[in-house]
Amino acid sequence: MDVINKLIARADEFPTLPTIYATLSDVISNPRSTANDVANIIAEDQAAAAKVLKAANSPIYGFRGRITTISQAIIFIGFEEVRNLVIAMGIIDVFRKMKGNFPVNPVDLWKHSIAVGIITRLLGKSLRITNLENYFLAGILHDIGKLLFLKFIPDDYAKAIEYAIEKNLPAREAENSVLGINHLIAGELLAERWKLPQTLKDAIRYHSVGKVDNANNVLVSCVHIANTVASLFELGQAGDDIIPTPNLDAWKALNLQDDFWSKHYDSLILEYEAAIGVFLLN
Amino acid sequence: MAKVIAVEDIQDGMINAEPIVNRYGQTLLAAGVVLNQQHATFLKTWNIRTIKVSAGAEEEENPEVTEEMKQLILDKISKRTDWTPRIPIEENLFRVAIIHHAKRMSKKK
Repeated sequence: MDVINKLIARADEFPTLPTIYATLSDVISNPRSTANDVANIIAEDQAAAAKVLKAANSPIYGFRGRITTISQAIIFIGFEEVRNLVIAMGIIDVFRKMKGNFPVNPVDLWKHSIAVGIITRLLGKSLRITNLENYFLAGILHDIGKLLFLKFIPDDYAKAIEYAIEKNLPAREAENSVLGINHLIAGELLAERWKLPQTLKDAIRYHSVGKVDNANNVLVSCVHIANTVASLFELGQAGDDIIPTPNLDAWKALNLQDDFWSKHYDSLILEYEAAIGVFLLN
Repeated sequence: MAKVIAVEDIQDGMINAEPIVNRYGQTLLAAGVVLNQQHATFLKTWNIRTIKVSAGAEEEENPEVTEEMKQLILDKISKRTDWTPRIPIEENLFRVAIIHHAKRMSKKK
């Protein structure tokens, strides 16, 4: 059986999104809902509630110790942002519990994804995007296809990684040659199953190209550049050694000042380290 | 290395180096806060004129990046990239990446 069919045959075993995501989405989409309604749902999951508070008080949001309740967190950082924090934590936990001998350490892959999330958000902030909530989550999820490979076809995936190293190829090309499918498509498959919004699906599917069907897309450009930066700085480990040339159109779409990275380096590292503390350390 | 700057000179992304307290001893801004223009306005309303910020990547008390170290890092990077900086923002990215790796190397020592 080829790899695609192997994956599809096991689609029923794909991890499901934590149920709290659907519940929260329903409540948030109801215009009559209040911060307390959302807070009550989150409070039922004590671990999630504690992590939301930790995140809200971390340098990621900058409310150093001033947020003491979930309702306050919702008021300060927003419904959607809190929902996305909960979902990010849920997904990381689902894949963190995997056991086995993996060609890439899942924790290192998460560190990479968290870095991409932080940098994507930083880029969105500097572009003065008002709805930033999907920026962090898009970064967190961009390599979710690799986690599917690790979970369901670790041996085949190990061969793809070896092939990439041997031939000095970017992950996507090595995966296509060895597996007949790459992590972008596999990630999209999972995103479809999870019924994630189109913006997140696009970020997963197109992050290595930096464009959607040849059209510029700011979020996709941000994830594309963030992926390059996280790999260059070796924040975590994406499982591929080659850092492909960034798409010049993505740089153009972001239109950053020439000294952007010098100016934002300190906050980037501070936020990254804080996020590792929130999401990966218990 | 922290440096003192005027509140007017606060730029987005700078990091507050020391807690700022008002005359009643209340903390207005904790250390480690990533600053933006709203903080600058807020501090002005409290008549705070100067602030200590952590210096940016290039001005910070960096480990001395020797030519040898720089070459070592560039060699390591070039093994993973089949491209060299083409535009100023990519040059800036590489420069900061070199400082970043140099810091890590000196931490490991």
